[in-house]
Amino acid sequence: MALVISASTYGQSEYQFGILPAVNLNKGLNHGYKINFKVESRQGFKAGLFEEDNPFDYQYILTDLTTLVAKKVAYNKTLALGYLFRIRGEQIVHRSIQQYIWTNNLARFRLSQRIAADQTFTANSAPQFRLRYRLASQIPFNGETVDPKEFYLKINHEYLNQFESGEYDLEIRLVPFVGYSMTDTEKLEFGLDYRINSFIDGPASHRFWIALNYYLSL
Amino acid sequence: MQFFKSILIPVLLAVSTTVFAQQKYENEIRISRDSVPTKALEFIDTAPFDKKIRWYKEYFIDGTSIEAKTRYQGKRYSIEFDPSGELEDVEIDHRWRHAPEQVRLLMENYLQERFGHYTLDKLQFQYTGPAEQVFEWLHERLSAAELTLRYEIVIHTKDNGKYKRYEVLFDAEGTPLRSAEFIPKNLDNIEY
Repeated sequence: MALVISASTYGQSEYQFGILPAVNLNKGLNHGYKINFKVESRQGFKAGLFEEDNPFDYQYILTDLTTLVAKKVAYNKTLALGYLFRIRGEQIVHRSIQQYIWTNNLARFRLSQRIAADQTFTANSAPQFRLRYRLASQIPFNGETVDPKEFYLKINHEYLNQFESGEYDLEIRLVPFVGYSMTDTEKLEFGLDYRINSFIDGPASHRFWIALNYYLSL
Repeated sequence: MQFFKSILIPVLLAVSTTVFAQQKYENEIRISRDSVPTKALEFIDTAPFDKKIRWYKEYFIDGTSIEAKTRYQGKRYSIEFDPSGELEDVEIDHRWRHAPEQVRLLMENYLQERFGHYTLDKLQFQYTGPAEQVFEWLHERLSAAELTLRYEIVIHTKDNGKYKRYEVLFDAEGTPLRSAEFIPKNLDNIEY
């Protein structure tokens, strides 16, 4: 990740800093189906160029409501289809989502890989298509599996290929979290969601979100 | 081979029906040497292991155990003790082909009959016996034939439309002794 942030362009790059709280609800259904509902809100605290001294400026940005219906297609493989409804001021965004997730139980940690595609539609804008690959690992601080009342480290690393009006852009995300498993069905995670894009043919755009995730499986 | 299928497998399956009601909950925490019973520490410290030893306390539905994990001669070893430090068994990870062919066939037939399509996740050779004999065997001063050998197998399968994980224990001849279904861990937070 650090390789793409060259020191020479860092000063001209723009950034955004804020918080990204999310609530994630999961409910098992019959026949290996599961439904996942996520509410995520994005709120900004600072934005501008790195070289500028930007004041604190609270800004509510958007709220995402996402529903995924997942089906286990093998012991450690899941196929999910979903829809995201985004409210961004007056603007409403619709996104269809397809995901394929496979998880490996390694000797001392869990590894989950996800290939996903999504299509975003907004009034008066060209549709955006993305093809994504995410690697997520969960490493317990204690023992070999994450058990109730234990802390863990979760690291997500994702590459997003974006196509819009014939233009291509690559976004890279690195998301380190410290998590706490309250029970086997409730987890709380806190960390940094770092995103960088537009670095292929110009100054990069960096976004730093302090993220707080709550997971509940019903 | 026909003998196995026509006589032995139905018998083994009948024996297994009572065994398959068990569940296994995996929960272990890393512990320091200071928390390990003296007897277990003495056993491990005088055993021929030359790599780092990791100590764990395992919690089951019906009790706890102390486990030392290490690598030795290129293989993963788990040495399990009861809470007072008495040796319970030594488990060594092996590839499926390392089990004797005749026993392997019996176990495969049993698993196939019981689960249909299944995938093998792990095979461990489990050695039990008096602590002194196990100790001598680790030092290669006693043959493994003096100990009791069992095969502990972890598989996953689809059972009544649900994906499940099982641990099955076989004796040295390939007869199933007991089995348990793992209570699955929640992985929602790394999938979504």
